[in-house]
Amino acid sequence: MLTEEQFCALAKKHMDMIFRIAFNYLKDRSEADDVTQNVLLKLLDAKKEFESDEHIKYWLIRVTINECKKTLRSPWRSTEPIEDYASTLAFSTPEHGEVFYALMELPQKYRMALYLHYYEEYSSEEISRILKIPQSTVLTHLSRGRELLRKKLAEAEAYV
Amino acid sequence: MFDEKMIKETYSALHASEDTLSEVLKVKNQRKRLHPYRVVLIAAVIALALGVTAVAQSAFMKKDDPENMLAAVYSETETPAQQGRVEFDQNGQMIVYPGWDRAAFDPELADKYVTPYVGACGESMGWQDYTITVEGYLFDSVTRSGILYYRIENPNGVGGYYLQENGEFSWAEESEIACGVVEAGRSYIDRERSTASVVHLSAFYVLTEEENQVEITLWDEKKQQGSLVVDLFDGGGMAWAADKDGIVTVSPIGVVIDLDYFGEEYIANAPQQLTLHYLDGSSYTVYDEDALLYNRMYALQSDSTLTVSFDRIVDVEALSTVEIDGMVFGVALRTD
Repeated sequence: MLTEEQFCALAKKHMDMIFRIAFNYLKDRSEADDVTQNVLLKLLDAKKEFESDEHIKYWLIRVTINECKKTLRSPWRSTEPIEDYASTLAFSTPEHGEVFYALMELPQKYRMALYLHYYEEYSSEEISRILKIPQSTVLTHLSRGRELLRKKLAEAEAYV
Repeated sequence: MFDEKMIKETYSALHASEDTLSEVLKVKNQRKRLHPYRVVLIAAVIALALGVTAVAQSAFMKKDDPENMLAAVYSETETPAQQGRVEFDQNGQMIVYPGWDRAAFDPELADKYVTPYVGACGESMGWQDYTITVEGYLFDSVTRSGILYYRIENPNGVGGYYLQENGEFSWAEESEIACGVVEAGRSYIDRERSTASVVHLSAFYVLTEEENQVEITLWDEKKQQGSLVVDLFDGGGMAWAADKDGIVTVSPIGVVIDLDYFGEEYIANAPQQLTLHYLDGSSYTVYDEDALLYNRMYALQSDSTLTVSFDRIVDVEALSTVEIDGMVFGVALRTD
């Protein structure tokens, strides 16, 4: 088991990642915060021996996804409008805000693939292992996700 | 437009709440004060942020009357066979009513394959006038699925739920409470034993996490008011059958199918038909989407695995093949 010091260091390092994955799934800030807390508690309680930081990260991502799936099955869910949350975020340009909205409109499976690939810099093979889906499926999700994102952003530009 | 850098910068703006770590440490320290290991919930401490009751058992304890529980779970005497049908409501919306066959509960098969593995529980949690008690459970480590048999009691009456034609139980939106198993699954009412103030339910669940445990939570509108965690013990391992490549694995209570074998199309869209064929020429159609026939209690596709819970106990020794969308897999009893 981790010492409190070890746990705090890991929590500070990874909690934003946990939150972002949870938000990708749930699109709700308070639910994503709840999932983040639950995942960190599981890390605190974990009796596993982690082999490396990558192993911890992989474990955290899997546990986060499972917690999100549990939340999706809850009888009642929060429904904060995404615009309310977006207004609290400090995007450096308005274009980033447009990208955020466009990302949130994508199907969750495309959003997850894009996040894990572009932000966490995982390869399609690594994403395949994390999400437990074939690599070809990951490539399809990335390709379709990018295409749909381009289309949504082009529509947003045309509308303006 | 966007590029890789823009996606990264966009996501960089998302952060967990500042008090996340302090909240987690607060819960950790509260646990330390109450108990060195798992927290035991009593009514006075429901105010704790998570409010979890842990039922820590150290070994498998067999239930006293497992045959009664299984008979209650699998008996369908009140529900005759039904044809699947499609109807349209007044707004023109299509409503699908699933059909099903019926198989009488077979106590001999139950004794042969399942009865020895029904575990005892008996733990309860309460909130206001409601008491939730888990009477027993079944856990199959091969399919990582099983059944939780529990009851909800309220001397003033248990209401606010509705039932499907096949006994499937759900809470209405306007109900004052919602209570159920957190893990993926579906609950069915035991109509024979249930009364106005005590509702008996069988929850068919499929585990998607590594831990062998099932959690029941009780909600009051948007707030969780209580939780009961049941550690599941595999009472020794039920018999099971599989094909030589491990694509299809059948236990007496369910089947697991590795969809990777069938390709991406099957991971995106689960199989449409599943039938078990026996050595004596008979068969059990588990489901047939085209015919709207569903002789199953629950099905879960998790990543590339499909797990289906049967509506009857299957004689795995007598199985010949498993047919999935016309593809046939020879299966045999396994001893490994």
